[in-house]
Amino acid sequence: MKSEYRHLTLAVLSVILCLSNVSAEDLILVHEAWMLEAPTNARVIAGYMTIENKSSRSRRLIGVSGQDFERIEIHQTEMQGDIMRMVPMEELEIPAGSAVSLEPGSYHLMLISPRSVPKEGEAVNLELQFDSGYTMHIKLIVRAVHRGKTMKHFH
Amino acid sequence: MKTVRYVFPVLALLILGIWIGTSLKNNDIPAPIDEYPSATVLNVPVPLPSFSLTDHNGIEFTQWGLSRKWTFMFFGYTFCPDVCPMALVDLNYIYGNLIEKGDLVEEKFGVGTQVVFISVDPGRDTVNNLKEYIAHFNENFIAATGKPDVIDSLTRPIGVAYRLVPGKDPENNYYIDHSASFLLIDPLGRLRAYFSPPHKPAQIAEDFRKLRNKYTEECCRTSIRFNYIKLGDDEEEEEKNNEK
Repeated sequence: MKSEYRHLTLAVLSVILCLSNVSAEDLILVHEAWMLEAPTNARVIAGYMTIENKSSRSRRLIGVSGQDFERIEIHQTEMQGDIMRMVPMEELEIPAGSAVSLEPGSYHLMLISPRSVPKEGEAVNLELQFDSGYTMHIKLIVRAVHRGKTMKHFH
Repeated sequence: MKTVRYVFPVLALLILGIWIGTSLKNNDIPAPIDEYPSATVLNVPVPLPSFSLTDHNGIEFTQWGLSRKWTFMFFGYTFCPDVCPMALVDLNYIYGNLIEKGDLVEEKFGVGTQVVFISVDPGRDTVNNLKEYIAHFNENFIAATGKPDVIDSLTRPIGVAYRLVPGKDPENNYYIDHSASFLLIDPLGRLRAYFSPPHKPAQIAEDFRKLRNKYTEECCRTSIRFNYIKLGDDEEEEEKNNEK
């Protein structure tokens, strides 16, 4: 029985590892990495994703970079009453065996000064740096604003 | 085992008891029904002060731009990556929802609906920036800004707060904390309700429809009624004069 499970686990893992947004070293998965199609003159764009830590050790996202942007910061939108505050963060902890969502109104990446603003369907490459020294390459898909439809998928 | 057997009947009785208790209590004091789940409606509408801003076409935008329209007003800035674009997406949803249902315009009173985005960052948001930015979300939306003191004279009386906060970026070295509520201005230019975050656009559209149906007639007849009352008084006076 045990070895069967082991085989199954290995099979599942190998399938998972074949996907692009997976780090073999850290067992970190990134799902649903996207950004909103921004106005062509936008100077900042938010990036969203879910980072899952499948390992038994806590991981910290300590930096993000991308050739299409001048700089990238990790931010949190904090609500105080009806006031929205943007709080820059040095790092984002992904506890062992759990997932952290970067989503509208919460954690997000602030992509500063895009070289050119990408359009719907395009993708941008980013590198996520973790405290373990691992750098993970991911793609952010650009989604458009559709009247009356867009938000439903993300709530 | 015996105790386990009694657990369910006892629980059931307890729940029944609580249910009867609460329903009896509710009969005595009816629970307030939340008529507008997404909105806070003001008992007394607050008139907006007179103001003079510049819109995305470089044209003056004043309090008169609010008359005979229901206005969703949102304060933000274009150097805002998360909250403002998402708010404009939500407003676009609400606007689209009203169009889909064919009731963007209340024909009876000739009262339309508009969305106004006011930038509290005139230092970075020029007319040209605003034009390109707002058109991305909806070409019918209005974006406006003005001098800081003019913006303050508008935001303060209606409880909209914003504050510049220094950031890390040396070039664009500040962020702005700001109110993220959607203000609903009635066709007489008065703050009637606000929708606080987190926004649920479908619910907001539904609540807005209810609010508009309830208050549009009141708003748009106020002036007529006012004239009527005055006329009535005059007639009474005339009658008195005639009696004399």
